[in-house]
Amino acid sequence: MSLYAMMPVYNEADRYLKHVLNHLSDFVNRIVILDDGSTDRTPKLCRSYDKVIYYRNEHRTFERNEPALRRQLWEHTVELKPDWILAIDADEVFEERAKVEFATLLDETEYSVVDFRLFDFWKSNKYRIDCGWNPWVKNHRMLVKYDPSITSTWSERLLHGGRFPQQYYDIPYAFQSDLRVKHFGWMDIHDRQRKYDFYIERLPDNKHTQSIIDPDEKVQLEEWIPCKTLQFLSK
Amino acid sequence: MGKKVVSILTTSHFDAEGKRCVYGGAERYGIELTKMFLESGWEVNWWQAGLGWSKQLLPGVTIQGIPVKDSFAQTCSSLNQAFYEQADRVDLAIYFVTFLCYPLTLPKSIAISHGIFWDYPSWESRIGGHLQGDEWYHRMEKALSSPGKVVSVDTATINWATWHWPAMLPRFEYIPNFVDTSYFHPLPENKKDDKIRIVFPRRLTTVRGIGEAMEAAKIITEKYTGVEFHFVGRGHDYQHERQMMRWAAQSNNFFYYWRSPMGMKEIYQHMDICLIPSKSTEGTSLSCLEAMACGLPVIAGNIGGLPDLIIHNHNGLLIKPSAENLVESIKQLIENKEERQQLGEHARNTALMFDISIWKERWKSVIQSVIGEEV
Repeated sequence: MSLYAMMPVYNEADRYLKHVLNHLSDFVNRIVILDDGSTDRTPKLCRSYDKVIYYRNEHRTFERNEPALRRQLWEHTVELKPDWILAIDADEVFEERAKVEFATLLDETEYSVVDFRLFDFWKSNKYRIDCGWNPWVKNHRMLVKYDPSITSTWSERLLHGGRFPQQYYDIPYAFQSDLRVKHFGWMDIHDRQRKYDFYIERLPDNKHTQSIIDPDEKVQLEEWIPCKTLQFLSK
Repeated sequence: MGKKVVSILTTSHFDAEGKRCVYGGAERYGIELTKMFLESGWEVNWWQAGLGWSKQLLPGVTIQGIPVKDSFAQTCSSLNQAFYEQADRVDLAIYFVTFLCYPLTLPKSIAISHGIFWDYPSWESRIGGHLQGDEWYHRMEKALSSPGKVVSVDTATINWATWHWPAMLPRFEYIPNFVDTSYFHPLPENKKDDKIRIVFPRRLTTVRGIGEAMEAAKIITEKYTGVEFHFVGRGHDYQHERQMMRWAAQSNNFFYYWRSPMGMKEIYQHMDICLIPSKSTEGTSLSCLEAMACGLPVIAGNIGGLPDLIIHNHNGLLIKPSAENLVESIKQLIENKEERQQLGEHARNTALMFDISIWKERWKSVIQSVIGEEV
């Protein structure tokens, strides 16, 4: 069973990209990257990985139309006819134990979509858990078995329209994996401010958007709970 | 001649909104039953309580969510009546849970009992006290008396019912649960270390004996440092899961995670002992059968349908599920490798008698007796 990761990137060279690519290289077959017009060393970094297949837009699409970017990435990926597709961002990594357990997910025949919980790291080894940030109850669809017979359509929502075509969200049996994803996109206070500025313009009344800049006393954090690797599954 | 049609009524394969399915043992049973009908050329449709939606369960199989008004004494009369009116032309009706037969039953019908679920101390208060308890008995009698046959996954339910209502015996057909023994099988011994691994492959609930198993794990690992305990299953909510993860993080010998049903195979294949210390609410557990099929000796609670699977000291150990008894049985199997392996071999041989192919044949025979022609 082949597993292809697909990932949009934009000016990631000094963020988490190297860490993410090292991590993915351990358990995926290929990493399809769509560079949304980076102006830093991102292209060079991407191309230094054997597993990366690199595509590039000269002009930035994300800020105007995220679904169009996701769709373009999907189309590049499915051209390669993978068995499974992992949609991951350049600031997300699975917990360590996933490396030996991911293969089992791909042997699955009872499920064709898998959801994961995303833990938003806020500082050092802690993630945020208050209100809409509670990672324990939110399942994100990140892994799907590619079905060429499905005619894909995409959500028209310009923000948060999903990482996959709509049809992959309509599949009734999703496996909710216990493998946790560490999301580092909120770690840096400058990233937070930048994202807040972006979302407040587009979703001004959204409570979750407001909560991005909550003062420290309103932010509830929880220490990461380690989970051991199943050594007997290591090859 | 068109295809024969079977309609299956259940409570909740999906949630009320039809969006989420928690895929547990009963749901797997339902899917295997559906596949058996499809393989035999039948048309299958499902009905359940829901907010008026319709969706696809499997290719070509729909499931309808019928709005339900009441649920009194653990029965759903309005769901039963809506099904009675709307599914009246089918060749066969299956009531996936026995109490769904109350008050009306279609002429050619089979009800399924997945095991006794009223054998824990707080049952009566949960059902709404003594009076509702009496009404529940009355409705249960009616529900069990109405369909053509009642398929029971264990003998405990049949014994319970015939003790209350002796004339009911002929209505019952015992079809224990199944395991795909070609998928769930042992691996040749190929250990990379000398650890002994023990798995608790169930939900983190009191009826499954989670507290006793955790206590036993603590006591055992104090004495035997090379023993690992793997707790593999979801909690009722995320708080339980988070708490369990924290608990497991305290010790190098404790693990907590969960797997899909198919993903359990490789876990069983790397374990040495399986714990099913259920205290109540148990039929012929799929987890127990799958562990046995992978060649694991099972230490099982002596309740519900588990004695239908485990013969003490032959293919596992059957115990009163207390922490003390668990500790003693686990010690016995840790210290005696030969016994452990022999019980595991016998467990595998026992599981072969519960292979899914046998289950399908038994089901076909019951269906034939109800509809009066071959399936």
